[in-house]
Amino acid sequence: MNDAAIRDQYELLKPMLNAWGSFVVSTIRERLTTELIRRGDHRKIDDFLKIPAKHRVKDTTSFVAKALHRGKNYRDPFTDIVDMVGARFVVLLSSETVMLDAILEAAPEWQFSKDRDFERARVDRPQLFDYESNHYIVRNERAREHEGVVVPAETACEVQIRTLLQHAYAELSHDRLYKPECQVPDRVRRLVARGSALLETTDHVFCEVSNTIGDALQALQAAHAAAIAACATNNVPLTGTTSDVTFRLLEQFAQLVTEITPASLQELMHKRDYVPSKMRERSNTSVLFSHPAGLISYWLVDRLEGAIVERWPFDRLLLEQIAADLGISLFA
Amino acid sequence: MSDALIALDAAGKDLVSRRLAEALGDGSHSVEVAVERDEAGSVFAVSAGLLDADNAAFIAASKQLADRLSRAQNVGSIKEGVALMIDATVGTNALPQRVMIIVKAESDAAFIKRVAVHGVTLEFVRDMVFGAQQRLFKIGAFLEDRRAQGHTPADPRKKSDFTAFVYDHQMNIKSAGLAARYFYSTFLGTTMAPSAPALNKVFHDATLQFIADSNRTRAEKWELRGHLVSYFRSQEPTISARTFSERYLTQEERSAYTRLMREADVSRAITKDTKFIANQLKQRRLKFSNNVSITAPAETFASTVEIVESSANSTTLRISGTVIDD
Repeated sequence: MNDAAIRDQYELLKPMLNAWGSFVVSTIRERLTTELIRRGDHRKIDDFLKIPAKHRVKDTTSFVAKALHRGKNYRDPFTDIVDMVGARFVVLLSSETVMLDAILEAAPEWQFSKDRDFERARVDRPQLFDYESNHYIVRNERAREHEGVVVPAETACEVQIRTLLQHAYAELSHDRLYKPECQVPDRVRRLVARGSALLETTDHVFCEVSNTIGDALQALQAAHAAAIAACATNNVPLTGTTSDVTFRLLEQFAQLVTEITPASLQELMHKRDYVPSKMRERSNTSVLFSHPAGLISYWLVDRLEGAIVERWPFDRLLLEQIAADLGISLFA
Repeated sequence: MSDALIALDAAGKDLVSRRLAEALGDGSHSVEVAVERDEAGSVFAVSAGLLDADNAAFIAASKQLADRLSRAQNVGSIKEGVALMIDATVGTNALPQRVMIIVKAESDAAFIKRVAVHGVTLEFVRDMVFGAQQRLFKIGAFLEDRRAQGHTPADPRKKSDFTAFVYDHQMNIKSAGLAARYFYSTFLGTTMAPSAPALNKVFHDATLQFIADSNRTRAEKWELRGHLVSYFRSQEPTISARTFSERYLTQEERSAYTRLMREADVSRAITKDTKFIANQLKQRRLKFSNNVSITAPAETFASTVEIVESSANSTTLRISGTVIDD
């Protein structure tokens, strides 16, 4: 085939490629939205994706050049060239690429192969710091109609999944390293590898930051939920509508938060069986007692006695009253 | 004297409960005492009878108690105040206990702040009671532990069915002098509890256990045991877990310690009486793995015996003294 023939045939394919790319992107976006909700992750999908996910059909000139002039000798460029249409998903952290990988790999609408796997590359060539990104080829499972166009089975789309830092590396290095017009000096390759290593380190640091914050937040939420459940079991109505009060209290006693478990709250309610009725009674006088923070306060005073005084974040009188209910002398 | 019962509103009850919990609750300086005089007409007998009295009898008997209190106060400068008789229930819903509480609340002077059209005015009052000042209270409490089978309200109560507590700030200061005695002894008819030696031993042993189980190094445990001895040997008339922990324990250790002492039932102040632990306080002993031991007078042990170095199989000591007999 000559240039003109390939060009004409490719032009005819473009609307179909466009439809397939659009289908792949919207399917992944839809599943991702569901997954974020399922995980209790409050981020919007467009916050989670750091660059808007769009598909892009290769322009005709590039296709022709790749098919005929790069010395690749394709038998049939229309089946052998798999990136006629591509899409890219960019997230913040490497721990988040895993989520997208799973969504893509589980989709029944296509079959996938992994062309490039950065986690695998790290295992296979641990000493090498190079371009990192996950490249998938997804092929349509069966002919389908999308946006009024029929997409035949086996139509391919390349999907790249990478972090923002990997994306930065790719953008920084691609034009400089992979254009064959001139020989790249070794010194430059060395510098770029160093940049890649630095980005991987940065990613790890931020994954750890994110996990640590996540763990702390999870502990607060667990204590909050345990207190809500214990109040429900013991018929203490909670009319407080915000979690701010409770979180403020919990943050003040962060090192004890993991001990505020359903079992330890139940133990308190058992040992001090008047706590539920005191909370109900006192909910008229202070909003503290209409929040899970009320029960947590009883737990903390029982646990810390006089040691709580200096760290108590609310009105002193509330503390004195809670201690009086528990028969504990605070200031002796 | 008043002929009527005072019905406190919720805020008033809360105030009284805060003051009482602060004075008598866990960790407070209240002290368990023993009822000595329990004959008919004694303060104990009259007070215990109030638990089952109707309103008229309650008013008559509390007037009698107030009168007895004013007659008991004949030493030194005793401020005037009010006497309150409180019939209360404490404990859990599962195990409620009745308690008769007698409070002598001395008057204090204060201002009442009033917001008027022209601004704030302060109105002087000279007989405010139940402020936060603990030193203005003296409290006696008879806590009912059990009721005899077939008991009727008219039967006199036995002192063995009650535990008595006293709160008087003058019992915490350096010596329990005459000033305090008029209340707990002359008026209430109680003595510093004869159970004190046993409670002192429980306190001592529980604290040693806490030290043994703590995360401290051997040297730090040694030092803390020394503090325990000095605490018992000091001139203070009472001991309390709260005071010991604030003086000698780290912030991190305190809550575990007070919990342990609460479980051992020694969370209030205790009259100091070291009869049962006298030997442990007199001599301190350092024991080694091979049956060697060194003893020395407890008060000078720390200054005369120093552990210079200790390894897996040997210990180096420096004793500031010379061998006089071998």
